[in-house]
Amino acid sequence: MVASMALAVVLSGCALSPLAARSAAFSTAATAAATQTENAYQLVNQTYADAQMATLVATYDTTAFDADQFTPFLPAKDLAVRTQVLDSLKQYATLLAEVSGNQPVSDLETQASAAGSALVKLQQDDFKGFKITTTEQNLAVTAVTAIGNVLIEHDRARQLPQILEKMNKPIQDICAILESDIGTVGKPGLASELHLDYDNQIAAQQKFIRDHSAAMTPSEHRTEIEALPKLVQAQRQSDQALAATVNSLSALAAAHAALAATRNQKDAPAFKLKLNELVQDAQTIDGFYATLASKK
Amino acid sequence: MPTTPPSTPPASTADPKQTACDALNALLKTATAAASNPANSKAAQDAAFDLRTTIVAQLQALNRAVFTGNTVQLQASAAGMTPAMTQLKALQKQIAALGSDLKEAASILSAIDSAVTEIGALGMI
Repeated sequence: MVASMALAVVLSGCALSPLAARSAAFSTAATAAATQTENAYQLVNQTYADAQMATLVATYDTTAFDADQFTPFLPAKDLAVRTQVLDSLKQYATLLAEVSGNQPVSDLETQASAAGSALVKLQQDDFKGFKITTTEQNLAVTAVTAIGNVLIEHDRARQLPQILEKMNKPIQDICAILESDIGTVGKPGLASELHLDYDNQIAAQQKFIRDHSAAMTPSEHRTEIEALPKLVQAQRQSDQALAATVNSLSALAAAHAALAATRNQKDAPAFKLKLNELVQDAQTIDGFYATLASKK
Repeated sequence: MPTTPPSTPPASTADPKQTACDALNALLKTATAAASNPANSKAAQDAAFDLRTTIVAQLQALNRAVFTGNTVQLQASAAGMTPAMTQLKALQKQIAALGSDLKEAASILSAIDSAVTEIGALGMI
Protein backbone atom coordinates (compact mmCIF):
# COMPACT_ATOMS: atom_id res chain seq x y z
CA MET A 1 0.00 0.00 0.00
CA VAL A 2 2.70 2.46 1.05
CA ALA A 3 4.88 1.37 -1.87
CA SER A 4 2.10 1.88 -4.40
CA MET A 5 1.29 5.28 -2.97
CA ALA A 6 4.96 6.23 -3.10
CA LEU A 7 5.01 5.19 -6.75
CA ALA A 8 1.93 7.29 -7.31
CA VAL A 9 3.65 10.29 -5.77
CA VAL A 10 6.60 9.79 -8.12
CA LEU A 11 4.33 9.38 -11.14
CA SER A 12 2.29 12.43 -10.29
CA GLY A 13 5.42 14.51 -10.87
CA CYS A 14 5.07 13.87 -14.64
CA ALA A 15 2.00 16.10 -14.98
CA LEU A 16 2.38 17.12 -18.62
CA SER A 17 4.74 15.69 -21.24
CA PRO A 18 7.08 18.14 -23.02
CA LEU A 19 5.19 17.64 -26.31
CA ALA A 20 1.83 18.27 -24.64
CA ALA A 21 3.21 21.42 -23.00
CA ARG A 22 4.55 22.66 -26.35
CA SER A 23 1.26 21.87 -28.10
CA ALA A 24 -0.63 23.90 -25.51
CA ALA A 25 1.76 26.85 -25.95
CA PHE A 26 1.46 26.65 -29.74
CA SER A 27 -2.32 26.64 -29.49
CA THR A 28 -2.52 30.09 -27.87
CA ALA A 29 -0.18 31.71 -30.39
CA ALA A 30 -1.93 30.03 -33.35
CA THR A 31 -5.33 31.34 -32.26
CA ALA A 32 -3.91 34.87 -32.04
CA ALA A 33 -2.36 34.63 -35.53
CA ALA A 34 -5.65 33.39 -37.04
CA THR A 35 -7.58 36.22 -35.39
CA GLN A 36 -5.15 38.83 -36.70
CA THR A 37 -5.46 37.45 -40.22
CA GLU A 38 -9.24 37.94 -39.98
CA ASN A 39 -8.53 41.51 -38.85
CA ALA A 40 -6.38 42.02 -41.96
CA TYR A 41 -9.27 41.07 -44.28
CA GLN A 42 -11.62 43.37 -42.38
CA LEU A 43 -9.11 46.22 -42.58
CA VAL A 44 -8.82 45.84 -46.37
CA ASN A 45 -12.59 45.86 -46.82
CA GLN A 46 -13.05 48.83 -44.48
CA THR A 47 -10.31 50.92 -46.10
CA TYR A 48 -11.71 50.16 -49.55
CA ALA A 49 -15.11 51.40 -48.38
CA ASP A 50 -13.50 54.55 -46.93
CA ALA A 51 -11.74 55.18 -50.26
CA GLN A 52 -15.01 54.75 -52.17
CA MET A 53 -16.65 57.25 -49.85
CA ALA A 54 -13.84 59.78 -50.26
CA THR A 55 -13.97 59.44 -54.06
CA LEU A 56 -17.76 59.81 -54.05
CA VAL A 57 -17.50 63.04 -52.07
CA ALA A 58 -14.76 64.40 -54.32
CA THR A 59 -16.53 63.59 -57.60
CA TYR A 60 -20.20 63.85 -56.63
CA ASP A 61 -20.79 67.10 -58.53
CA THR A 62 -19.52 65.67 -61.82
CA THR A 63 -20.22 61.95 -61.64
CA ALA A 64 -23.57 60.21 -61.35
CA PHE A 65 -24.03 58.23 -58.14
CA ASP A 66 -24.07 54.50 -58.85
CA ALA A 67 -25.29 52.41 -55.92
CA ASP A 68 -24.12 49.17 -57.55
CA GLN A 69 -20.49 50.29 -57.21
CA PHE A 70 -20.75 50.16 -53.43
CA THR A 71 -19.90 46.53 -52.77
CA PRO A 72 -17.18 45.13 -50.49
CA PHE A 73 -13.78 44.72 -52.13
CA LEU A 74 -13.47 41.08 -51.08
CA PRO A 75 -16.26 38.96 -52.65
CA ALA A 76 -18.43 37.48 -49.88
CA LYS A 77 -18.12 33.87 -51.07
CA ASP A 78 -14.31 34.04 -51.16
CA LEU A 79 -14.18 35.78 -47.80
CA ALA A 80 -16.48 33.10 -46.35
CA VAL A 81 -13.93 30.44 -47.36
CA ARG A 82 -11.19 32.36 -45.47
CA THR A 83 -13.44 32.71 -42.43
CA GLN A 84 -14.16 28.99 -42.50
CA VAL A 85 -10.47 28.08 -42.86
CA LEU A 86 -9.41 30.45 -40.08
CA ASP A 87 -12.18 29.05 -37.84
CA SER A 88 -10.86 25.56 -38.58
CA LEU A 89 -7.35 26.69 -37.62
CA LYS A 90 -8.72 28.09 -34.36
CA GLN A 91 -10.69 24.92 -33.71
CA TYR A 92 -7.54 22.88 -34.29
CA ALA A 93 -5.65 25.10 -31.85
CA THR A 94 -8.43 24.80 -29.26
CA LEU A 95 -8.67 21.03 -29.58
CA LEU A 96 -4.89 20.76 -29.38
CA ALA A 97 -4.93 22.76 -26.14
CA GLU A 98 -7.75 20.64 -24.71
CA VAL A 99 -6.07 17.38 -25.59
CA SER A 100 -2.67 18.62 -24.42
CA GLY A 101 -3.96 20.28 -21.27
CA ASN A 102 -4.28 18.93 -17.75
CA GLN A 103 -7.99 19.68 -17.24
CA PRO A 104 -9.31 16.08 -17.01
CA VAL A 105 -6.71 15.26 -14.35
CA SER A 106 -7.37 18.52 -12.48
CA ASP A 107 -11.10 17.73 -12.41
CA LEU A 108 -10.37 14.29 -11.09
CA GLU A 109 -8.05 15.69 -8.41
CA THR A 110 -10.72 18.18 -7.29
CA GLN A 111 -13.35 15.47 -6.96
CA ALA A 112 -11.03 13.06 -5.14
CA SER A 113 -9.93 15.80 -2.73
CA ALA A 114 -13.51 16.79 -1.92
CA ALA A 115 -14.55 13.20 -1.37
CA GLY A 116 -11.57 12.44 0.86
CA SER A 117 -12.18 15.49 3.08
CA ALA A 118 -15.37 13.94 4.43
CA LEU A 119 -13.48 10.84 5.53
CA VAL A 120 -10.89 12.92 7.38
CA LYS A 121 -13.68 14.61 9.37
CA LEU A 122 -15.24 11.38 10.62
CA GLN A 123 -15.43 11.40 14.45
CA GLN A 124 -18.05 8.82 15.53
CA ASP A 125 -16.54 5.56 16.79
CA ASP A 126 -19.02 3.54 14.71
CA PHE A 127 -17.39 4.92 11.56
CA LYS A 128 -13.76 4.76 12.65
CA GLY A 129 -13.11 2.03 10.10
CA PHE A 130 -13.65 4.59 7.35
CA LYS A 131 -11.68 7.37 9.00
CA ILE A 132 -8.40 8.41 7.35
CA THR A 133 -5.73 10.93 8.32
CA THR A 134 -4.93 14.03 6.28
CA THR A 135 -1.68 12.41 5.16
CA GLU A 136 -3.54 9.32 3.96
CA GLN A 137 -6.07 11.51 2.18
CA ASN A 138 -3.28 13.36 0.36
CA LEU A 139 -1.67 10.11 -0.64
CA ALA A 140 -4.96 8.67 -1.90
CA VAL A 141 -5.74 11.78 -3.94
CA THR A 142 -2.20 11.77 -5.37
CA ALA A 143 -2.53 8.11 -6.27
CA VAL A 144 -5.87 8.56 -8.07
CA THR A 145 -4.56 11.62 -9.91
CA ALA A 146 -1.33 9.91 -10.90
CA ILE A 147 -3.14 6.91 -12.33
CA GLY A 148 -5.35 9.25 -14.34
CA ASN A 149 -2.30 11.11 -15.54
CA VAL A 150 -0.51 7.98 -16.67
CA LEU A 151 -3.50 6.64 -18.56
CA ILE A 152 -4.22 9.94 -20.29
CA GLU A 153 -0.56 10.56 -21.11
CA HIS A 154 -0.33 7.06 -22.58
CA ASP A 155 -3.12 7.83 -25.09
CA ARG A 156 -1.68 11.23 -25.80
CA ALA A 157 1.88 10.03 -26.41
CA ARG A 158 0.60 7.39 -28.81
CA GLN A 159 -1.63 9.62 -30.95
CA LEU A 160 -0.59 13.26 -30.67
CA PRO A 161 2.66 12.94 -32.71
CA GLN A 162 0.74 11.26 -35.58
CA ILE A 163 -1.87 14.00 -35.55
CA LEU A 164 0.76 16.76 -35.65
CA GLU A 165 2.52 15.00 -38.51
CA LYS A 166 -0.70 14.61 -40.53
CA MET A 167 -1.71 18.20 -39.93
CA ASN A 168 1.63 19.70 -40.90
CA LYS A 169 1.21 19.77 -44.68
CA PRO A 170 -2.27 21.33 -44.66
CA ILE A 171 -1.05 23.95 -42.16
CA GLN A 172 2.00 24.78 -44.31
CA ASP A 173 -0.18 25.02 -47.45
CA ILE A 174 -2.88 27.13 -45.81
CA CYS A 175 -0.37 29.58 -44.33
CA ALA A 176 1.39 29.90 -47.71
CA ILE A 177 -1.90 30.65 -49.49
CA LEU A 178 -2.99 33.18 -46.88
CA GLU A 179 0.44 34.84 -47.15
CA SER A 180 -0.03 34.94 -50.92
CA ASP A 181 -3.47 36.58 -50.46
CA ILE A 182 -1.80 39.47 -48.69
CA GLY A 183 1.56 39.66 -50.48
CA THR A 184 3.62 42.85 -50.29
CA VAL A 185 3.10 46.41 -51.45
CA GLY A 186 4.05 46.65 -55.13
CA LYS A 187 2.93 43.12 -55.98
CA PRO A 188 -0.66 42.15 -56.80
CA GLY A 189 -2.53 41.27 -53.60
CA LEU A 190 -4.22 42.73 -50.55
CA ALA A 191 -1.21 44.63 -49.23
CA SER A 192 -1.08 46.56 -52.51
CA GLU A 193 -4.84 47.07 -52.40
CA LEU A 194 -4.72 48.53 -48.91
CA HIS A 195 -1.88 50.87 -49.88
CA LEU A 196 -3.75 51.89 -53.03
CA ASP A 197 -6.96 52.59 -51.10
CA TYR A 198 -5.10 55.07 -48.91
CA ASP A 199 -3.56 56.64 -52.04
CA ASN A 200 -7.10 56.98 -53.40
CA GLN A 201 -8.30 58.67 -50.22
CA ILE A 202 -5.36 61.07 -50.38
CA ALA A 203 -6.00 61.87 -54.07
CA ALA A 204 -9.73 62.39 -53.42
CA GLN A 205 -9.00 64.60 -50.42
CA GLN A 206 -6.60 66.74 -52.48
CA LYS A 207 -9.22 67.11 -55.21
CA PHE A 208 -11.86 68.05 -52.65
CA ILE A 209 -9.61 70.74 -51.16
CA ARG A 210 -8.72 72.10 -54.60
CA ASP A 211 -12.33 72.17 -55.84
CA HIS A 212 -13.86 73.67 -52.69
CA SER A 213 -11.11 75.77 -51.08
CA ALA A 214 -12.71 79.00 -52.34
CA ALA A 215 -15.90 78.24 -50.42
CA MET A 216 -14.12 77.17 -47.21
CA THR A 217 -13.40 79.30 -44.14
CA PRO A 218 -9.70 79.33 -43.12
CA SER A 219 -10.53 77.01 -40.25
CA GLU A 220 -12.36 74.53 -42.50
CA HIS A 221 -9.50 74.75 -44.98
CA ARG A 222 -7.00 73.91 -42.27
CA THR A 223 -9.06 70.93 -41.04
CA GLU A 224 -9.25 69.46 -44.54
CA ILE A 225 -5.51 69.94 -45.12
CA GLU A 226 -4.71 68.36 -41.74
CA ALA A 227 -6.53 65.22 -42.85
CA LEU A 228 -3.81 64.55 -45.47
CA PRO A 229 -0.85 63.72 -43.18
CA LYS A 230 -3.20 61.69 -41.00
CA LEU A 231 -4.04 59.53 -44.01
CA VAL A 232 -0.33 59.15 -44.80
CA GLN A 233 0.32 58.02 -41.24
CA ALA A 234 -2.59 55.55 -41.30
CA GLN A 235 -1.29 54.19 -44.61
CA ARG A 236 2.13 53.50 -43.07
CA GLN A 237 0.60 51.78 -40.06
CA SER A 238 -1.69 49.67 -42.24
CA ASP A 239 1.20 48.63 -44.46
CA GLN A 240 3.09 47.56 -41.34
CA ALA A 241 0.05 45.69 -39.99
CA LEU A 242 -0.29 43.62 -43.13
CA ALA A 243 3.46 42.99 -43.35
CA ALA A 244 3.40 41.80 -39.74
CA THR A 245 0.39 39.58 -40.51
CA VAL A 246 2.36 37.91 -43.31
CA ASN A 247 5.27 37.42 -40.89
CA SER A 248 2.89 35.97 -38.33
CA LEU A 249 1.50 33.44 -40.82
CA SER A 250 5.02 32.47 -41.80
CA ALA A 251 5.96 32.09 -38.12
CA LEU A 252 2.80 30.02 -37.52
CA ALA A 253 3.82 27.58 -40.26
CA ALA A 254 7.40 27.42 -38.96
CA ALA A 255 6.25 26.88 -35.37
CA HIS A 256 3.93 24.05 -36.40
CA ALA A 257 6.67 22.40 -38.46
CA ALA A 258 9.01 22.66 -35.46
CA LEU A 259 6.30 21.27 -33.16
CA ALA A 260 5.81 18.25 -35.40
CA ALA A 261 9.54 17.76 -35.91
CA THR A 262 10.43 17.91 -32.21
CA ARG A 263 7.70 15.50 -31.09
CA ASN A 264 10.22 13.07 -29.57
CA GLN A 265 12.46 15.65 -27.96
CA LYS A 266 12.33 16.61 -24.31
CA ASP A 267 13.75 20.09 -24.87
CA ALA A 268 13.02 21.64 -28.21
CA PRO A 269 15.02 24.87 -28.61
CA ALA A 270 14.09 25.09 -32.32
CA PHE A 271 10.40 25.02 -31.47
CA LYS A 272 10.80 27.54 -28.63
CA LEU A 273 12.59 29.90 -30.99
CA LYS A 274 9.83 29.67 -33.61
CA LEU A 275 7.13 30.00 -30.97
CA ASN A 276 8.78 33.14 -29.59
CA GLU A 277 8.80 34.63 -33.09
CA LEU A 278 5.13 33.77 -33.51
CA VAL A 279 4.19 35.28 -30.15
CA GLN A 280 6.18 38.45 -30.87
CA ASP A 281 4.61 38.86 -34.33
CA ALA A 282 1.13 38.33 -32.91
CA GLN A 283 1.76 40.95 -30.21
CA THR A 284 3.13 43.43 -32.75
CA ILE A 285 0.09 43.09 -34.99
CA ASP A 286 -2.25 43.32 -32.03
CA GLY A 287 -0.78 46.75 -31.32
CA PHE A 288 -1.21 47.86 -34.95
CA TYR A 289 -4.84 46.80 -35.22
CA ALA A 290 -5.67 48.28 -31.81
CA THR A 291 -4.14 51.61 -32.89
CA LEU A 292 -6.00 51.60 -36.21
CA ALA A 293 -9.29 50.68 -34.53
CA SER A 294 -8.94 53.50 -31.99
CA LYS A 295 -8.51 56.06 -34.82
CA LYS A 296 -11.67 55.03 -36.66
CA MET B 1 20.26 3.72 -79.27
CA PRO B 2 21.36 6.98 -77.72
CA THR B 3 19.17 8.31 -74.98
CA THR B 4 17.52 11.61 -75.54
CA PRO B 5 18.99 14.24 -73.23
CA PRO B 6 16.46 15.77 -70.88
CA SER B 7 15.05 18.93 -72.27
CA THR B 8 16.47 22.04 -70.70
CA PRO B 9 14.03 23.77 -68.38
CA PRO B 10 12.42 26.85 -69.92
CA ALA B 11 13.97 30.11 -68.93
CA SER B 12 11.97 31.71 -66.14
CA THR B 13 9.42 34.09 -67.54
CA ALA B 14 8.19 37.15 -65.73
CA ASP B 15 4.82 36.88 -64.01
CA PRO B 16 2.38 38.63 -66.38
CA LYS B 17 0.36 39.92 -63.43
CA GLN B 18 3.48 41.50 -61.96
CA THR B 19 4.42 43.03 -65.31
CA ALA B 20 0.95 44.54 -65.65
CA CYS B 21 1.05 45.71 -62.03
CA ASP B 22 4.40 47.46 -62.53
CA ALA B 23 3.20 49.18 -65.73
CA LEU B 24 -0.07 50.32 -64.13
CA ASN B 25 1.73 51.61 -61.03
CA ALA B 26 4.07 53.68 -63.22
CA LEU B 27 1.07 55.17 -65.04
CA LEU B 28 -0.71 55.77 -61.75
CA LYS B 29 2.25 57.69 -60.39
CA THR B 30 2.25 59.99 -63.42
CA ALA B 31 -1.53 60.52 -63.37
CA THR B 32 -1.53 61.20 -59.61
CA ALA B 33 1.24 63.76 -59.98
CA ALA B 34 -0.63 65.49 -62.82
CA ALA B 35 -3.91 65.50 -60.88
CA SER B 36 -2.35 67.23 -57.88
CA ASN B 37 0.01 69.58 -59.70
CA PRO B 38 -1.19 73.16 -59.02
CA ALA B 39 0.64 74.35 -62.15
CA ASN B 40 -1.86 72.39 -64.27
CA SER B 41 -5.22 73.86 -65.25
CA LYS B 42 -8.33 72.60 -63.48
CA ALA B 43 -9.40 70.77 -66.66
CA ALA B 44 -6.00 69.06 -66.93
CA GLN B 45 -6.13 68.10 -63.24
CA ASP B 46 -9.66 66.68 -63.62
CA ALA B 47 -8.65 64.71 -66.73
CA ALA B 48 -5.64 63.30 -64.86
CA PHE B 49 -7.90 62.41 -61.92
CA ASP B 50 -10.29 60.54 -64.24
CA LEU B 51 -7.37 58.71 -65.86
CA ARG B 52 -6.13 57.84 -62.40
CA THR B 53 -9.57 56.39 -61.52
CA THR B 54 -9.43 54.13 -64.60
CA ILE B 55 -5.92 52.89 -63.74
CA VAL B 56 -6.97 52.26 -60.14
CA ALA B 57 -9.88 50.07 -61.30
CA GLN B 58 -7.45 47.91 -63.28
CA LEU B 59 -5.02 47.60 -60.39
CA GLN B 60 -7.88 46.66 -58.09
CA ALA B 61 -8.97 43.94 -60.51
CA LEU B 62 -5.42 42.53 -60.38
CA ASN B 63 -5.34 42.64 -56.58
CA ARG B 64 -8.76 40.99 -56.32
CA ALA B 65 -7.79 38.30 -58.83
CA VAL B 66 -5.02 37.08 -56.50
CA PHE B 67 -7.54 36.71 -53.68
CA THR B 68 -10.28 34.99 -55.70
CA GLY B 69 -7.72 32.86 -57.55
CA ASN B 70 -6.44 31.44 -54.26
CA THR B 71 -9.88 30.34 -53.06
CA VAL B 72 -10.09 26.92 -54.73
CA GLN B 73 -6.56 26.02 -53.69
CA LEU B 74 -7.33 27.12 -50.13
CA GLN B 75 -10.45 24.95 -50.02
CA ALA B 76 -8.42 21.95 -51.17
CA SER B 77 -5.76 22.57 -48.52
CA ALA B 78 -8.39 23.02 -45.83
CA ALA B 79 -9.95 19.69 -46.82
CA GLY B 80 -6.54 18.16 -46.08
CA MET B 81 -7.05 19.03 -42.41
CA THR B 82 -10.03 16.69 -42.05
CA PRO B 83 -8.30 13.34 -41.31
CA ALA B 84 -6.11 14.81 -38.57
CA MET B 85 -9.04 16.81 -37.14
CA THR B 86 -11.14 13.64 -36.97
CA GLN B 87 -8.33 11.84 -35.16
CA LEU B 88 -7.84 14.79 -32.80
CA LYS B 89 -11.56 14.90 -31.94
CA ALA B 90 -11.50 11.14 -31.28
CA LEU B 91 -8.50 11.57 -28.97
CA GLN B 92 -10.26 14.38 -27.15
CA LYS B 93 -13.31 12.14 -26.59
CA GLN B 94 -11.07 9.27 -25.50
CA ILE B 95 -9.31 11.43 -22.91
CA ALA B 96 -12.61 12.88 -21.71
CA ALA B 97 -14.05 9.36 -21.38
CA LEU B 98 -10.99 8.22 -19.47
CA GLY B 99 -11.38 11.17 -17.12
CA SER B 100 -15.04 10.21 -16.63
CA ASP B 101 -14.16 6.61 -15.84
CA LEU B 102 -11.65 7.70 -13.26
CA LYS B 103 -14.11 10.15 -11.81
CA GLU B 104 -16.54 7.27 -11.46
CA ALA B 105 -13.95 5.48 -9.36
CA ALA B 106 -13.51 8.58 -7.26
CA SER B 107 -17.27 8.81 -6.89
CA ILE B 108 -17.16 5.81 -4.56
CA LEU B 109 -15.51 8.19 -2.14
CA SER B 110 -18.16 10.77 -2.97
CA ALA B 111 -20.89 8.28 -2.12
CA ILE B 112 -19.32 7.77 1.29
CA ASP B 113 -19.02 11.55 1.61
CA SER B 114 -22.76 11.94 0.94
CA ALA B 115 -23.61 9.23 3.44
CA VAL B 116 -21.44 10.85 6.07
CA THR B 117 -23.04 14.24 5.42
CA GLU B 118 -26.58 12.81 5.69
CA ILE B 119 -25.78 10.91 8.86
CA GLY B 120 -24.12 14.02 10.25
CA ALA B 121 -27.34 15.95 9.56
CA LEU B 122 -29.21 13.40 11.67
CA GLY B 123 -26.85 14.11 14.58
CA MET B 124 -25.25 10.71 14.58
CA ILE B 125 -21.67 11.96 13.99
